[in-house]
Amino acid sequence: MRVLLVDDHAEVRALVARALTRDGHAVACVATLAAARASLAEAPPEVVVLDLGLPDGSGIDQCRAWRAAGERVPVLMLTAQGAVAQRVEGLEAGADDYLAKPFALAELRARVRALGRRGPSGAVTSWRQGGVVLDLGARAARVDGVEVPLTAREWALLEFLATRAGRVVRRAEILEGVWGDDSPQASASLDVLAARVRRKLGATVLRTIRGEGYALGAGP
Amino acid sequence: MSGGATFVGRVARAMAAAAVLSAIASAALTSGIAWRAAVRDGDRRLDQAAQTLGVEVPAKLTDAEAAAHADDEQLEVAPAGLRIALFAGGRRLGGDASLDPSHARGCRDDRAWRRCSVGIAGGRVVEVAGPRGPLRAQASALAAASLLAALVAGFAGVALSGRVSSRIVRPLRRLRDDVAAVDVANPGASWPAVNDGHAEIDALRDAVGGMLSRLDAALAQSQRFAADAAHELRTPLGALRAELELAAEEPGTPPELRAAQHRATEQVRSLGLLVERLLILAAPDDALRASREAVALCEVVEESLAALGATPRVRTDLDEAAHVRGDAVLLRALVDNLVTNALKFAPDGEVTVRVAADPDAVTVRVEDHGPGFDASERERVFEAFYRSPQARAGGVRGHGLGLALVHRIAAAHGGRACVADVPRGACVVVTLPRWRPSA
Ligand SMILES: Nc1ncnc2c1ncn2[C@@H]1O[C@H](COP(=O)(O)OP(=O)(O)OP(=O)(O)O)[C@@H](O)[C@H]1O
Ligand SMILES: [Mg+2]
Repeated sequence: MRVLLVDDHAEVRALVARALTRDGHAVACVATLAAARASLAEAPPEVVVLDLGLPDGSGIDQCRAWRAAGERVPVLMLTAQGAVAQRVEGLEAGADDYLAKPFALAELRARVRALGRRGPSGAVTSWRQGGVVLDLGARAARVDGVEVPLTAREWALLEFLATRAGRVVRRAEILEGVWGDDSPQASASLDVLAARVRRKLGATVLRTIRGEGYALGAGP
Repeated sequence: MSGGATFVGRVARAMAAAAVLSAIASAALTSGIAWRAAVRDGDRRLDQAAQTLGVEVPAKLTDAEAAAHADDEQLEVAPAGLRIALFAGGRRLGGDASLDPSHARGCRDDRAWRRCSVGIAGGRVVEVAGPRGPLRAQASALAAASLLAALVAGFAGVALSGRVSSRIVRPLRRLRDDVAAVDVANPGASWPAVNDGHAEIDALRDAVGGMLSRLDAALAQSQRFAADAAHELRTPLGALRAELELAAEEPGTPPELRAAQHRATEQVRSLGLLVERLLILAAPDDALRASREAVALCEVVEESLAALGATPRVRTDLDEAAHVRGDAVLLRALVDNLVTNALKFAPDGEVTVRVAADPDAVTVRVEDHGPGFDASERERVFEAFYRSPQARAGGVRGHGLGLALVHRIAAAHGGRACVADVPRGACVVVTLPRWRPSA
């Protein structure tokens, strides 16, 4: 997978690149937004890892500009743990996920893998079936007009399935695309998560196809 | 309002005293003036009577004719209570027999009488006297009236002073309300730029506004400093951590080296955590409130326990309907700190994590069977850098930041954290407002 890494700190860049390369990704490293724009046009990546404070501007503004221009490459933002506002702003600007610095490399690798599996960002903006309406852009779910709380992870699962609506998605694919790892722990979490989503949205929204995987909607 | 002396009371008392004093002074002045006016009036009447006789008695009349006129005049003025007599060269010609000649011209008091001596044509002198009684009665009636009026004014002043003075201090009250409404996290911006229209109050307002904006600048500077410092530390720490993690993946490392790598990684990780915790504690409240996503506390607890590898000793009781609005990363830090404390301070025994939901609130309750909290330290444990003496003596590691962070994150989510009373061990309860549909 091609990954574009945008970070102005040379050492961090080198280390992250080394880790991602070990996972078999092709990593393009740049230190500025200008270079990132050039690289994006030249060799479109499948995932962008974007630091926020860059010498020639804010990663958030760049992300917003890309989305406005129709660029749908998944973006992973690197932010500070306490910087809540920055994270919120980043997600609103169209970033797909965030990782709090300083992060564990294992976590970064998992997120990059997951984003790569998810595919283009914002491909599906809404989904409905019967009384259930999912507004994926605004992250608002309604059942018969009543708003229902869904967590970030639940949204990630629903979004992953919604972009593949109408087909059965294999367990391993979901684990890779939402958790970024297919450990037994992640596998157990998937079942718990699916059960909770069903209790919130109704049993018919999320179908289990035994031995195969999950599918969104009542099926054909 | 406090029970002490108030400015309104002070102004009211001063106003009442001023009202009473000015009432008394004005009564004295009025009656003085009235008395003098009455005397002048009386003198004019006496003088007129004398002049009338003077006209009737020209110089050419003989003393006998003059005396007859004087007697007539005396008869005429007697009903009005006056007495009149005519003298020539100190000798009485006619009129009232009891009046003596005066040595000097003009009016003077003579016991119960007011008398005037007026020279007329032919070197003759008219003596005329009127009783002072009515005059005095008139003057004292006037004085009484003015005193009464003044007293009424004084009492009205006293009665109104409270209301008037609270009107006077109304701009001060507005000032107080505005000061009370100043946002601690953002002092300068929350100061209303309105003017009151009173020069003194506006000067005071400007002074307060100026002070707040200086405070703003200082606050911003210290926050920037904290953020910059943390940022400067964060990047090299992140690099160091990544370096160690990558090194640990290299095959063929001797076991001693691997153990050392592992320890170093742990140290760097906890150093990074310390930086993040300090940054959260230093962040302005608003900055922690930005996220409004739905967070399921059961999910947070599950992820926390999985990451801490704490499952064997921890029993959970999680209501999956317990959602809040806020930030998953901060709430995860909150749960991490509570669970870490329980595992750390209670070296063995069960740890219980309970998540429950009320219609309006959700609670996270972490309980252990360790030494628990001292009754005296229940408030203090939430202060940054506080560690109990036992924790220090017992060699338990820590910075005393965990519960301060718990407190701060709970507050940023509109909730609170407290130590609950339990017979054995420690129990910390965090209460947060429950998720509601956005309006
Ligand atoms: N579960 C508990 N049982 C007994 N005492 C506790 C417990 N949790 C906290 N305390 C007391 O409260 C103090 C403050 O706790 P806090 O979590 O803020 O600091 P710490 O755990 O000592 O350090 P840090 O969390 O920064 O690593 C502790 O030092 C300890 O004395
Ligand atoms: Mg602690």
